[in-house]
Amino acid sequence: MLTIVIRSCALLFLLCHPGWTAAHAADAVRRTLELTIAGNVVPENQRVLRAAKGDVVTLRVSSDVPGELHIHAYRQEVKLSAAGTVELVFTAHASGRYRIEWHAAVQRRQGGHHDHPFALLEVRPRP
Amino acid sequence: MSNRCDPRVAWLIAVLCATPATVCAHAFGERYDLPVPLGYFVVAAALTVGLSLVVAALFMRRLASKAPAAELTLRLGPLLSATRVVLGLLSVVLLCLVVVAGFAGSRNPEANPAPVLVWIVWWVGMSFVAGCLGNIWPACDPWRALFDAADAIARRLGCANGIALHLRYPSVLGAWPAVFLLLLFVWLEVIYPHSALPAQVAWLTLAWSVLTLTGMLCFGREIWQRHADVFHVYFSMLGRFAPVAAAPARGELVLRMPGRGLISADRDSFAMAAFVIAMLATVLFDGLLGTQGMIMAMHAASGWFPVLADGQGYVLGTAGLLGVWLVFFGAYLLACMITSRLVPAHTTRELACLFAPTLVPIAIAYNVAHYFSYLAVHGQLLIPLLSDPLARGWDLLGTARYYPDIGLIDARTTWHLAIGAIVAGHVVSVWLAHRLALREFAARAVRVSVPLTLLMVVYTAISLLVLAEPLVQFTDAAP
Repeated sequence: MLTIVIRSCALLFLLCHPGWTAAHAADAVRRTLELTIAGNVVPENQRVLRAAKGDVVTLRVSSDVPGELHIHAYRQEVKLSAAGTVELVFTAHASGRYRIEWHAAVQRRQGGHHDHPFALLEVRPRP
Repeated sequence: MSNRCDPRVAWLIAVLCATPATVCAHAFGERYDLPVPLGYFVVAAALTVGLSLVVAALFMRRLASKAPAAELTLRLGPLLSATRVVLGLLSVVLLCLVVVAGFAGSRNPEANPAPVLVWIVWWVGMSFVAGCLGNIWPACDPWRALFDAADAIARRLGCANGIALHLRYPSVLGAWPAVFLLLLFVWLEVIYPHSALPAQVAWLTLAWSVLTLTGMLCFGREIWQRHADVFHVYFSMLGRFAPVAAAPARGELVLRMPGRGLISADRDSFAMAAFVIAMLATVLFDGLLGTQGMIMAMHAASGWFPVLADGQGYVLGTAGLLGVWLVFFGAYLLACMITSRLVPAHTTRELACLFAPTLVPIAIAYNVAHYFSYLAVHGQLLIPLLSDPLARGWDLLGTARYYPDIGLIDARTTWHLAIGAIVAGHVVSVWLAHRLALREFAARAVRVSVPLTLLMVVYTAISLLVLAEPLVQFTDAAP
């Protein structure tokens, strides 16, 4: 009976470990992500931006209003003092799901927070 | 000061403004966890059911051996009491630090040691140590240390009965004050939006100090701690699972099989059963709050009942917290009621008291699954804060410039750990319940433990659902 338990655990281990070693050997991938802010919101299909761990991400932020964009956990921030486009380049070194915050320069609500996160950066572990 | 916003200040803004129904489920700090992928979820669910059957089959085949429990006793003698004194002193220093830093330090929770120490290092970290290693809380309990010190001084000065008044504790209350305080504490942690503010932490710490020291003074330390000191009860319950137990009176440490302490102790009270269920329900609720499904449910609820939408989520949050606890408790009592039909000599209440501790491994598993990465990543906040506790620009230990490494734990590691802990906790709980049933009901043990095993499968499935958020995965497939 104990062998069944051990075998089940071994099975779980194998099923969950397809890329245990591959993760370290994978090459860095350049990835460009777009964030098109219009009226302080992003389109539905840009709510979750996805990258894989180790990617060199170019986040191209464009906005029709001035404001500040933060990804706090990654310590990334960029300021748009006027409508336009800026690029933020960083390496997605840590997997996880991180909030992207937008703080509009004008009409700054007290708090300025939305019920839903403004957008999310999802960095998945490499398969 | 440059125009660029200091990330820490921005974080403060984020913390201050996030409503509880959004992402800020735990006391503070953004959670970075990715939902567990569906494949892991399916494997874990299958293992949960499969291993439960294996455990059941094991017990069907042969009765548990009657061999005495394997234990190893380490005699430490005066070393153990010396350690206790050192830890006690350290804990009082840290208590003072929390209060002083809370009032005099930075107003940013991430830049103040008070919230980091209380909500992350102590509440989450101590739970891990108590459950997985051994319950060190009695040695690190600053209020106990203060009371014991005052008591010892009073005795030295000739007051034979110490400082406690030894009033009669109203027995009708039992351990219900601890249950209430646990729910209140978790309410502060996950619902109350300002619980991470340093000054609030300091006030809460002072309030608890007054309450618990008064309680000890009125009823005597042991009586108070056993019934109403929520932290003492909480960490003791976790510590009963742990492989190391201390017998300070004899100066001994005992090494034992994990979980042994849960089934060898005396029968617990009904309030303790409610307490154990609250331990499960509160951790699960915290996890639930961060999920997309819960956010959608909260939005739907406030749409249907605009009266409940109070902006801060107080009403819905409180209802959710109590609701999860009551549903879990109801399900547990139902399982016990069905069991009581199988063994007519025992009432539902007796069975509920008997089997409650066997759920503790599930509570520990929930803790590990939900908080490990949080503790590992956000716990690092303490490193720079120890060098500059009052935000005066000091660098006492040379670590003031340290910034938490968010990549410390890979998402895949977190998934493995979470899934592994949940499945292991489940199996250990089923196993302990079987052993207990075997001891109490001998031949009928297998039948008796069927309803509880099914209940544990349900609890485990719910926790896996919360970790995996399959609702999101189904609607929002990865590219």
